[in-house]
Amino acid sequence: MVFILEPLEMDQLVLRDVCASYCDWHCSAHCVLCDGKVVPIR
Amino acid sequence: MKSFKSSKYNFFFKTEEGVKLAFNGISGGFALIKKENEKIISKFIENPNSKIKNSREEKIFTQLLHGRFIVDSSIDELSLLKMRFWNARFNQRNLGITLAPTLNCNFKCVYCYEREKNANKPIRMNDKKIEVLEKFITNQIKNGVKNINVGWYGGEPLLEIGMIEKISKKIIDICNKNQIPYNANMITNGYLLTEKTFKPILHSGINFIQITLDGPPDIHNHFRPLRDGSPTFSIILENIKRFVDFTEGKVKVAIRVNVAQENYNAPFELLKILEEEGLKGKVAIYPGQIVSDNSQIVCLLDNSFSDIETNFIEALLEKGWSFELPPLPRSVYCSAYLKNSYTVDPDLNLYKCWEAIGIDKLKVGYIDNDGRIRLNEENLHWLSYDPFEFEECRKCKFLPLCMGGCVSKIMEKGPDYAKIEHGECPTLRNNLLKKLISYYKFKVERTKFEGK
Repeated sequence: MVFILEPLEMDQLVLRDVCASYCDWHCSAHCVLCDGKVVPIR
Repeated sequence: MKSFKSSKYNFFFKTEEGVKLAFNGISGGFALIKKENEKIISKFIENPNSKIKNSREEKIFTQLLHGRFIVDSSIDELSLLKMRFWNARFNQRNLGITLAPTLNCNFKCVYCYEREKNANKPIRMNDKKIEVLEKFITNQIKNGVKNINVGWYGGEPLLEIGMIEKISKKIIDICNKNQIPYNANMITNGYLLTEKTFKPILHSGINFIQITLDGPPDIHNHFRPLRDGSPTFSIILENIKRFVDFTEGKVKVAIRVNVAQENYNAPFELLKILEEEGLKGKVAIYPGQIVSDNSQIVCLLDNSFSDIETNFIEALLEKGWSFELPPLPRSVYCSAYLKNSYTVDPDLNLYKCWEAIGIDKLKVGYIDNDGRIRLNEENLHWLSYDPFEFEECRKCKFLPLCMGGCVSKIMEKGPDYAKIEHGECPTLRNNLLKKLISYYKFKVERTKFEGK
């Protein structure tokens, strides 16, 4: 298998805040989950 | 001895050319399956406890574990999602506020959901309220907030750019004193985005702006005229061009194209115009679905809109435009699910969603004169809404990517919402695989991805 997008690591899976929006510009404008960054975490 | 099982959230699918791909909804792992490994992968997915015969099989098994396509059989994946959801929902470190400095607007959009209900509301934030807002921010930091994100909304926020600059300065000063990161964005119609506003926007720490253009001039001007009916398209377009040149990428600009039946082709036509105007690479563009009770608008069904989304992504890909990530795992559907996220009107009433602004029955509380949040029972409805209560959501393979869908639509159903059978499914349910395939093509065509 060749990963196009790497999977989240264990700590990100549950306990770390994961950006709720990622790709959606509309939601990213509204998102507070990614430590204040409006960019996706990857 | 350890035993394993296949994830409930695996998607195995192929492109029209026969390229096989795998995606896992919990981990977001997205992988190309090489032809020579197909059989081994099938063997382990069908029976994760099959004997590993050699080092090649061992390598592939490890990759399947890495992507969480296979998991330890003791893991309850639904519990993991619940943890992810509740942990995010009651996180107190982040504060998200969508601030409406005014409910006044210079536009008369045909699908506007604010105009009628806000007709008799205070339309502008006064100085006393601004002082209270300052106290509120200070209190929030004392209570442990480590991150502040403000979204400027309205009405039309640029009608009050002076107030925005003033409030922003106060919040930024407080954040700087406390070494807290601050981010801000703005949803504007773009008509007043003139040179006069450029510096105030930058000084206000705004790093993202969304502007709506609903297609080519005739459609846009029909959908989004000034209050007196005058056209707005060409002025907004010129404003955007000057703004992106002035800000040189410091402020991201996204163009939202609201789509209904009468303008279903609008995103594609607008893309051509933006390209001719030299905006490729300077702005992002995406279609938005109009959901309106207004009889002047015929809304699209979800599956029709899903097709527009995927066809539009194909068009972006073909024309070399910037490309969004595909749907990925999320903790909650949107910030309306979060305890520490509010939409704030000029009178400092609180709502959970910007679409609820001005609807009295959806008000979840207010900020009192000491800058403290006072919540009511409506807040309880929003924060206790739990997609895991619905059998259909619990069984759904899309749950890690959706997490219950639009809570605002659920709340509009009133106190009986618990009787409904499922959450509000987003369009990704219709087009997830197509979006993933487009992303794969993007990686192959535009990056050094050498999976082939």
